[in-house]
Amino acid sequence: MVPPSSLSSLLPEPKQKTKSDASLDGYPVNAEGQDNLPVVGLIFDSLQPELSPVVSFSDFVPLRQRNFNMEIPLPTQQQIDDTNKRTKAFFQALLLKKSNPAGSKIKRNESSGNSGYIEYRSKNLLSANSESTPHLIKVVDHAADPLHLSNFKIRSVYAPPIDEPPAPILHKTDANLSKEERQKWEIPAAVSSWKNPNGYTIGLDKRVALDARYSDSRMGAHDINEGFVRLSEALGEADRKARQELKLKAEARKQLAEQESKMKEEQLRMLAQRAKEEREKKRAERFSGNIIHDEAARERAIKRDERRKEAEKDLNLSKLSVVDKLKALAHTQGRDISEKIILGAAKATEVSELQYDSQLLSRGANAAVKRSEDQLYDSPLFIQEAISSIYRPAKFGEADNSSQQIIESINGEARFEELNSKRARIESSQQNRETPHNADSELGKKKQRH
Amino acid sequence: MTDNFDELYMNLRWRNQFGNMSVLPRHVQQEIDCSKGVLQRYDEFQQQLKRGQLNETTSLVKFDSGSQKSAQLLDKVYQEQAGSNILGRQQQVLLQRPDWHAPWKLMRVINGHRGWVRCVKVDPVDNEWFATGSNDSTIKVWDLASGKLKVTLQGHIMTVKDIAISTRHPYMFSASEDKLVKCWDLEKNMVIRDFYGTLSGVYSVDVHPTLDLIVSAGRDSVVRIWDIRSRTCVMTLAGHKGPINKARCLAVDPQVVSCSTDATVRLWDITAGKTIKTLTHHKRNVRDITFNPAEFSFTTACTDDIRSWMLPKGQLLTNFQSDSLGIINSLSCNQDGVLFAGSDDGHLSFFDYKSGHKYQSTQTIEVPGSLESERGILASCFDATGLRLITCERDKSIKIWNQDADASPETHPSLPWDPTIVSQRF
Repeated sequence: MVPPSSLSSLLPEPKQKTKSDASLDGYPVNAEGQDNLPVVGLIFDSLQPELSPVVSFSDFVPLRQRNFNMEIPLPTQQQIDDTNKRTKAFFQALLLKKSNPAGSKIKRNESSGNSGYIEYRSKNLLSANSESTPHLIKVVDHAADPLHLSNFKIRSVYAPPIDEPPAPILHKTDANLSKEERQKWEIPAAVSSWKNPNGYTIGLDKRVALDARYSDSRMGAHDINEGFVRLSEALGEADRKARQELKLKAEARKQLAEQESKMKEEQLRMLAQRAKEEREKKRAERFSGNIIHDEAARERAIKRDERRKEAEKDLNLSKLSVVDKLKALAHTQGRDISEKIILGAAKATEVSELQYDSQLLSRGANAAVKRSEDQLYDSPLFIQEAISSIYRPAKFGEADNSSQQIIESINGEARFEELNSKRARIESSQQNRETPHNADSELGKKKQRH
Repeated sequence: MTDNFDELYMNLRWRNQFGNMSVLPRHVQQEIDCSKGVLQRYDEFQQQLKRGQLNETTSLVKFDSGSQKSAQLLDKVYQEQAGSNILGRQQQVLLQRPDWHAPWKLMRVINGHRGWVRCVKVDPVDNEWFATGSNDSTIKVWDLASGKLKVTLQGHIMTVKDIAISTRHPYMFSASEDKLVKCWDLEKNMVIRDFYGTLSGVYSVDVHPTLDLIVSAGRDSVVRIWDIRSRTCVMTLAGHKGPINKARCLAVDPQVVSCSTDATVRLWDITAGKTIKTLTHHKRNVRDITFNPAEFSFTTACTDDIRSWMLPKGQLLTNFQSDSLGIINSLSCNQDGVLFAGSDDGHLSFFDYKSGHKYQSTQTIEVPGSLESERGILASCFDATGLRLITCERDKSIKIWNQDADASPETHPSLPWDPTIVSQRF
């Protein structure tokens, strides 16, 4: 149970020290003689700070514990009527006051529309002698919409402050939390590692506090077991050894492979040598069989052979096409030229204007500087003209048979000159007929001629 | 000095060796005690007092009969009133015999609301119907005898937190979290008045029994008194420091009683617009007030703590046996001296009003299809006869309970009554 001295600790702290008996007047004092209740005095008067609420011991003792069969009659009709009368009169007065408050008078339309005139004489400063000119100013009230919402926001003031002596607190308040307990309940402010729209500076300790990886327990001194150290050392040693072994093995394997390859080469060479020797032996045997005795005949035979070879070569050359001929020529001269250049099909790109290196025109030395956000590379891959030519159909139709066509044209140039010119003429006339505009213009031309 | 040491040593040795033999075993002692005469026993008691062995009382103040100082203190506290010291009071408490009440059992389960049922009131005039307000923002009127739905009143847009039915008009008032108090005409089943001006949700409404006034209170922590006819807020009673859970009206002073989340109960003088008395005995959020229809007193409840108070002054009347009840959402009292307390975890506790004795404790059964955790009583009400108890529950059902008619003190003994002086709580 609570010793009596702790009762005074239940009281709130005194708010003001000044003593004024008037404020205690309306205060309920528990000592009372009526209702046949036991008269209970106040205790701890001397302990109480001045003006603090009056607490008596009887406040804690339930009345029914003292007098179990206490009768508490319901209010009599007389009491109810009396209270009703009093309260009704009060509220009627209050309502009357509320419905038309003393300060406010009913504003009529006329009064609000009532406009006064003010005669205003301005003094003309420039002409001091002249009479001031009178101005008539009409003063009109600003018309206000009575249904318009108030411009002032109703501030929701919860629990408005009231002037009232503090009530004695008659229950045990929970003991004040200790600092540690309070810290346990403290929830750190929400700090995001990803968002900080206002750009506040976030303290390092806050960042650490909110990062789960750096909890207090982890940040503490690390006590690593000796066994762990040994284990890691042993593991490192074993690793090194294993690597060394692997290296040695790989080297040995490599040497073996080299030896093997050498052996094979040797064998092959031996085989080749043997074959060569055998062939020599055979040839020697043959020559020894039919020896040409005549030196002149032998020379003639050689010459004949040479001539025959040359004739064969010429024959082959004559059989070759132009392209192959040219190729062969180039080959003999030791040049490597692609087909297109040989045939005159590849031309240098025709550029009407002068071409500049784009890097020369860019600002300053750092040509790699980007000029816009969309630009990925510092210089365009294609110049604009090149782009336009890339996406047009090729002049020679399909690329595959272009060379054939060219060859044909080369072959048949002289023979079908007349035919070609005729065909061209027919085609041009057909073109003219196709477009009505052209036909019109031709008609016009004809008319002019007529 | 050496003699002294010797003696001390001897004593110590003796106590260590034979100390256990100086006290008789309890059962032997009891038998010896039984054979003692009255005078012998009194002598022993006196001796014990002198030795100061009788300290193990649960008294609030350490009682030392020999000391002059404590006698003075007692005199000062009780002003020489015989028999009202702690021992006397304990004897009084032990003499109290709580009334026997028949146990309550479930009679009917009514489903129909689509949200938590938050409030209930029985028709005070004919006792034929009752109205419930719910989280689904409707008010439903049910027939009390058959449990059938009579009418559904729609008009609020948020939870209906309280209902008040007037005895003098055909009006019903409802308070809702949508900041409105609505006045329903029960003849037309229509809203006829709205009471505007509350700054936040309204949690409670009550009709003045004799005047054309209603009282509302809510989250804005002021009690507002409205004139029914003109719909104006006549008076605002400020003083609570937290949302107000319930405000109730009486015909005589104090005409308004309110309880709040700031753990206080206030009795108001509405003609002065001031608090008459603030009751600060409760430790936590005071959730409900109920008046006793048979005597001029009321009961309030906070977590684990139910107390009744005498009116009009508001003195502490009884501490109920309400430890370990948990959050108490609702209180109801009937004419027969039964106090009902509905817990947030679905426990129903019935108390004898006079002694504070808990004589029955049961638990609701959740409606099939709802979770076990949805057990919870949100509001309760006795009908006008006090024979039926209506509870509104978190499983969206309304349950009606009545007393077991066949029960007798022999067949259905109430829970044991072991009063302690400790029932004075802080």
